[in-house]
Amino acid sequence: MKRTLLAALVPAALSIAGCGTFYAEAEQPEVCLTVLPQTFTIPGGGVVAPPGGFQGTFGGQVDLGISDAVPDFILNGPEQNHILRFLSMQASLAGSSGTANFDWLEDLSLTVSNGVTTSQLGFYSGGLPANSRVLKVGALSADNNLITFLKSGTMVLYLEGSVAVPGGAQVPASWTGSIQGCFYAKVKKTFDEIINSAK
Amino acid sequence: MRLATLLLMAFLAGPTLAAAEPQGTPPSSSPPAATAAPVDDSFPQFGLQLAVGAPDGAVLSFVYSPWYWVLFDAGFAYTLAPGFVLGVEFRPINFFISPIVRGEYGYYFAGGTADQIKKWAGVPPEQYALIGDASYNWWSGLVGIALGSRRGFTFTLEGGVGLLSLNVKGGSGTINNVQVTTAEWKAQSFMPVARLSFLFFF
Repeated sequence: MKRTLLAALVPAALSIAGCGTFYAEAEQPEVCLTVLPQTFTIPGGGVVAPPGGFQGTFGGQVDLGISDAVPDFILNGPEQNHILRFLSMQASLAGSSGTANFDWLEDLSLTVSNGVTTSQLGFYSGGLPANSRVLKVGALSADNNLITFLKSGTMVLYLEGSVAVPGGAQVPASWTGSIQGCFYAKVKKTFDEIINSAK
Repeated sequence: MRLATLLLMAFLAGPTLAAAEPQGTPPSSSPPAATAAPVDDSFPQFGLQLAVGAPDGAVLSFVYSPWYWVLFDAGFAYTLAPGFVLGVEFRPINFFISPIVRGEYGYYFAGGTADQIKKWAGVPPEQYALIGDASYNWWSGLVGIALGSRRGFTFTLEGGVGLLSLNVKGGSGTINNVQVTTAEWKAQSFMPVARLSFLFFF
């Protein structure tokens, strides 16, 4: 009888002792954020390229505006258990864009910054089919983690591109497009963390 | 220190289960002919069980017991949504009080689960559209104790561990002028489980 009761107490003891072992985790394979169409100005554009061709650069930023939309319990905790991974960025020319395609785009760099830290997420170096209106840039590193940027309350994507137009062709003054960023997210918390954060 | 205590408890409890003999089993000195007695024939094979627990919820099951020491159950469950629970249970001792070892699988269909997730997780209403229908399932292993008669009513109390998986459909919505689209996602928890049941054999 005494030993039988002891056998029944074992699971209860295991449950109490196991708060560091027990966990809950959530994994979102892909969440995509699409901001309203934005216009990027190309300095020196809006003219016909000289005989030797036109070389220029442009830049702009996109605020995904999600920092304040993510609950604190997702952000707080060890970085290895809180992952926000950049998957891809897609730029789609709007119908009212100042250009018909991305043929003039030579390269494009995508970085993320919170004002203190900057990290390069992706890079496009040409190869887009002629007359393309959609540009997709993948992640430079498969194990990037942007949770630090999200925790800081600001996560801004910076686009910096190079323009190359052959002589005699029109150089666009700007381009307008919608920007979509896709991310992978994973959060893991032990029961200890959950209990302590509720106190 | 905590781990050592647990190991000691498990060590002490182990021989109890191993050494336990069904009450109906005659002493080893008895003639061989006596051990051939069909003791299982006198036990009822069917029963009805009402259980409550986590993550089981409330479950009404039919129980089939081909031998006094093993029980199979299949039940209808309802908590946040309708579901079902399947289990197999071992009760090695035929006595008023008996240890139990149980394994079970449960599944809850999509129902009101997603609505509760939104409330429990404090999801702002403008983000509700990002969380679609949710269903969940679990596997669990439990040990516990049964009190009562194998020929009538028994009450059981069990605890253990389980692996619960929550599958949530994605959705689409607008937050801060940003269009957000989520793919189907999954949550998993390795967690303690508990169960209380009332079983009547007929």
